[in-house]
Amino acid sequence: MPAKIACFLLLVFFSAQPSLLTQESSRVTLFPKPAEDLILAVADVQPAPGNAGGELASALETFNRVLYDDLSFAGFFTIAGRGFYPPKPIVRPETDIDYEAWDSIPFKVSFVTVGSASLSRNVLRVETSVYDMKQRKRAFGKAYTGDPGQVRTMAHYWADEIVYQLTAGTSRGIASTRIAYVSRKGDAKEIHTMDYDGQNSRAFTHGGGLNLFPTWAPDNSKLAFVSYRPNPEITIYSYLDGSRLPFPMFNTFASSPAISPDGSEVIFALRTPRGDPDLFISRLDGSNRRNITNNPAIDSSPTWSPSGRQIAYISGMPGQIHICDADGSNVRRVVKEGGDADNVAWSPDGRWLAFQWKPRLSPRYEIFIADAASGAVRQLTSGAGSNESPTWAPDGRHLAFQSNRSGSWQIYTMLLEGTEPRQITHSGNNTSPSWSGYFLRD
Amino acid sequence: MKRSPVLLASTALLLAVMLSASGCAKKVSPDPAAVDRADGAREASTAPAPAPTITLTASPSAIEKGQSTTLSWQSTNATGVNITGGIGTVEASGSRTISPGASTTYTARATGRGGDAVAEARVTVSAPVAVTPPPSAAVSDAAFFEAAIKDVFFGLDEYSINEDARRALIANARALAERPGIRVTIEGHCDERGSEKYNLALGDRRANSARDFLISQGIDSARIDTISYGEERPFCEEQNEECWQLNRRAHFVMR
Repeated sequence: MPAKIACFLLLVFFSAQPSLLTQESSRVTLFPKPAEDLILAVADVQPAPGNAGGELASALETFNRVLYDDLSFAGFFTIAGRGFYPPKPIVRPETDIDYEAWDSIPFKVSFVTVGSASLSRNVLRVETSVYDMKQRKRAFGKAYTGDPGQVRTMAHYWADEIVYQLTAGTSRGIASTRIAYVSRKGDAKEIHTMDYDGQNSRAFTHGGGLNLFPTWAPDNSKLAFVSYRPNPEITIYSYLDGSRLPFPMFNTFASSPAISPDGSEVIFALRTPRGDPDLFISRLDGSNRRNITNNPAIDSSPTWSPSGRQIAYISGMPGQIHICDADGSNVRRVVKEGGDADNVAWSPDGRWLAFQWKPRLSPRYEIFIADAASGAVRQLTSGAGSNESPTWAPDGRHLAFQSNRSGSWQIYTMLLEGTEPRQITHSGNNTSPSWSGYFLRD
Repeated sequence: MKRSPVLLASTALLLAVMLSASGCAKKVSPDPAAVDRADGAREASTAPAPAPTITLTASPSAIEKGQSTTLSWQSTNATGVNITGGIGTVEASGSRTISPGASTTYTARATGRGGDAVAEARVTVSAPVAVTPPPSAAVSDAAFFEAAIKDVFFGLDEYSINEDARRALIANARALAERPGIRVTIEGHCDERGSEKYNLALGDRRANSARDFLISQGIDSARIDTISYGEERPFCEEQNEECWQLNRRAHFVMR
């Protein structure tokens, strides 16, 4: 039975963007690349003069908390602890920033983000700026206008703007990205999506069947996954209007789809007449299908290199990580430690392969990364539970994964170094995270 | 989902021919007149001795080779009883369990002062009846499937057919051959220890190993579908080897 898909409404969500972004200051290139010692202070956005009331206070409480969390997790900055900030609220930055007081705290703060907000007739307006504490002047700013229910989105946009500006455009910030995942509902598994911090989750499939292994088209326009109809089939949906794209059904075994970086092709595992799954590449409509592994072992879990010229995948029993060219040539084994690996994911900069690995009989996986060129391996997770299914954020600095360390399967995010782990889902059973690409920027 | 093994009532249905005692007794009466004539010269001074009687029965009277039956006899007025067929001299009344290798007529002779009496009993011995399943029409396909078709289990990280699996599949193939109307879906399942993607592929290989084996036994491939559930539909959710073994299976479902 085909899964029913709700049309939703990221379209609405993002078409709101133009009205949210109402101004931009002169853009200043601050650093050729983010400095290790860049210290950012996140001063609370304050009610604008003449604005008070519980609803605005509640919205600003959310804005300030989300912004602080976003910037802390961004991994680019040292965030100066709020307890050290000079006590005077900054409403009008031109007069309210006491540079001498800021100079006297134990950090050499490089930048401070400030802002003020008003709420009238259910329209929330937040004006934000970053001040350069060395130059003692405004560096850049934005204003956001919208429904109070969009306050989290506004904070995410501002966080991404700060990352973009302070990294001189080398990163766009991930606070506005989403994560697709599988949520178990009794015997069914449905595809859901959520904000990168676990908020705002929505069901994408509702059919009550088994839906597994979601992956995004790199431009976020589509979700590809496995759906039981009744056999596991490759299923591709538009993420923009919720329509299903035509793709052949095989009525045997098809699994682990991944859409190519240019969005024109999909690679997936498909049972061959020989009985074992090989990896096939076809156009998005299933045409021009060709077998690229052609090998009597189990081949599964393909991932494209960012250039689209290479494929990493697992092959054998148990799975070993291999790389080949997209035409199937130049097969080589990358990680030579043996054991059992799966869910390999190529980093956006092309350098790393993230994967789950364990000694063959161990019940628990850990997340590792391997240098795609040398095969050198680093372990990122350790401790309780099994840690599986890594997926890269588009900035290549963050990973999401699934773990049962809490006693149930939940989704976590962390920095590439393995630091700042955050549990972002908390109830039910949630697995197979897939981090979206960046959404379109103005 | 747990399927208890059901004993297929495939043991031979022996139609016991419970013929009641079929030994026919035949009285051979001494002729008192002849005796009298023989002793006539000296007058018959004493009453003639009473004539003996005897009955002989075999129950049951028809057996399969290798089975046994009971031979019973009763006599009166006899001073000696003898039964043929290797039994010999016996008490006046009694029984013996016998297991003749072929059909045999037993003759019992009672000897007394009043003469002899003879009785016969025949035991018919047949070849063993071949084991036949119960009449097919009486059992629905669903009940037949439930009783006759067994799941097949696999080793850790394996999809090859081991000896136990082979035996089960041969039996499944025989049962499917007997009921050509039954179509099956073979589900491939795995324990939870591998990754989800790998297990989905492994489950597919397991289901197809079982399917290929049935086809090699002559089952029409069109009758067999497969579907892999990997680790998505465990039969047992505990984390121990017993449970994991239960989950490494090809599970047969009637379509």
